[in-house]
Amino acid sequence: MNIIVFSIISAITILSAIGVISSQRIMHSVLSLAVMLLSVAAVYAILNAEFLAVIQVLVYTGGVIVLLLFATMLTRSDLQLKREQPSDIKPAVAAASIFAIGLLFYIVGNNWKSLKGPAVVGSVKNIGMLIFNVKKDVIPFEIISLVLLAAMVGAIFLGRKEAGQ
Amino acid sequence: MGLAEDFIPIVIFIIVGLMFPMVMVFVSSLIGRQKKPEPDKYLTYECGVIPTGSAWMQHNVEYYMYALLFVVFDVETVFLYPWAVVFKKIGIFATIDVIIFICVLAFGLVYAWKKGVLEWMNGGASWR
Amino acid sequence: MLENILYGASGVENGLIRGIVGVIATLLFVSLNVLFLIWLERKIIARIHVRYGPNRAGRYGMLQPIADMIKLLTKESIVPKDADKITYNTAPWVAFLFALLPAAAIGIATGLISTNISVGLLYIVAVSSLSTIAVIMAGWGSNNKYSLLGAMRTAAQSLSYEMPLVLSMIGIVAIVGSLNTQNIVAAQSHAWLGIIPKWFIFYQPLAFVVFFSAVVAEMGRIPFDLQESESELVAGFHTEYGGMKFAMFMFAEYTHLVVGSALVVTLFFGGWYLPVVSGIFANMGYINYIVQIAIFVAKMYVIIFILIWIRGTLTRTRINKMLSFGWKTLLPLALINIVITGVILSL
Repeated sequence: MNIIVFSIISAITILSAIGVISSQRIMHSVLSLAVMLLSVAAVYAILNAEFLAVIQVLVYTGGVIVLLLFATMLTRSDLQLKREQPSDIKPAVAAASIFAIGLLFYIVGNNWKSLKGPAVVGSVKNIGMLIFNVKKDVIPFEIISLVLLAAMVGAIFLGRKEAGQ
Repeated sequence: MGLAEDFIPIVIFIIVGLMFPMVMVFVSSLIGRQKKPEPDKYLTYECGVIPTGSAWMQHNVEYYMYALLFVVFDVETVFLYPWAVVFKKIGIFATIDVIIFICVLAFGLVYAWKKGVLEWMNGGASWR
Repeated sequence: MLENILYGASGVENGLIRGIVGVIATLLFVSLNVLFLIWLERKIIARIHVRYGPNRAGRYGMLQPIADMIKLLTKESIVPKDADKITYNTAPWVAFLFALLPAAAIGIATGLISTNISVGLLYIVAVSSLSTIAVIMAGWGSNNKYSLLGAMRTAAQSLSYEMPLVLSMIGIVAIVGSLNTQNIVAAQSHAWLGIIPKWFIFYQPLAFVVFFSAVVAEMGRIPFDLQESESELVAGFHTEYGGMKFAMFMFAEYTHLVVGSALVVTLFFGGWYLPVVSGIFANMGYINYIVQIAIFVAKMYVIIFILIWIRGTLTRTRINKMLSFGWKTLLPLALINIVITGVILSL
């Protein structure tokens, strides 16, 4: 049962991932990416990581994809242009093939354990207890806020610079 | 099975949510107007004028800046929700943590505010 | 059957029964409400404008929505020749799907919920945030200037108001200690002195103001209806749509109204609990469920009436004012509310 569900979800993930790189229009690529991220959320859901699944939808599909859609709107006139084929793709194809073959050997050779834990592990309560109840994890938590702040300031700085030109 | 019980209904909702519009569009195509409309009906609407140029053009950078801020605050909420859920079980220490966390990000909001990211630019003209 | 859904078969079987019964019940509930709401909204707005409103089809014009439905069903379907076919055609489906999905995690009585998922609130927020994508798909796919402008505005607006919306709920989550909508309602089921209900609007008034404003904006209603401001953008993102595809957008819009007001009732007005009445019917089996549903729907319609009233009274805001209201007023208020709640509850 689980393996069938997983196969369907993986098929959707891979097909939409192929859609991302093979679409002629940038908008279609972004929308395929949205489907892909949603199906990754489904993978989290079948692994009993419900909080992660919801966050995947909220942050990635609801936030990052919309950001990418806006970025697409920002690009100049090539919105209606077809995506250009890079002139020389042979080295890229070769490199990607070598990487893929290596990855395939690694996947086959590795002895995989199931990541699926009991539902309790992935629950919001458990994650909350892990972050806030252990004293030593407090500093990383505050550092996250600093990282976010740095990201925000940096993005604003770069964005204003781009807008100024 | 744990969560299956909770997620199966959502899967069914997704299936039905995709099927229902299909059925409605199909029914509409059966009983709807069959006559082929005249070619002008396929024109893009632009108040009766023949449209000039494509709508796919460059937009303001403001939209993008709002989306950027949104993603940062979105990630913030990801950390605040687990705190809220376990709030009763943990001490005041965690509350102080979270208040510092919020203050740091509020500083980011103030920075964006001061830099004028939250203003709508309107192509240089200023609005009151 | 009802016992089966509530306490019966475990695991997968329970999920299947809940899902199938839930989706049918939700579709029925939402469709009936949507049909009624279309009529109610036109009628109330007409009264506020000192007009009659629909009064030809049926008594008090109550058959008007059904007549509208039939008209939309018999329309021809046109795809503009400049449109991007795939995006244009799939946008109404996506809009419909993401309008329907949040309803799965909202219960209308004890145990009467399609999926009792423990991350309920976050699920609702996450899924409803996806309808932004449908709007951008519609606007971009139409290749119409009005549509695209409307879509961009809608997206900017729902991004800006989603943050205060999500943050204003944290206070309630901290009080309840759960994201599950059933638990949130159960936490409001008591009363002071047996009469004054312990609704969260009394505990979290600031959060309520923020949440309610944000919900109005998320639903794209006046005063925040910039997405389809008729006087400047024709009809916003669905300018190019007609027939059944347009109906899907309308359905999605009114579903947002139903789900949004149901969420307000669940979070701030005690869901299906009413101080004295709930106590009387508590042990009466099926009657209790009917009473709970009736209370929930009644509260929902009070909220909906207020929303329609707002629509009949206020004017549309300008985009810069609307966005700065979201970022400069509601977002700081939501953050302050979290800090206040945290400090008070810790003491």
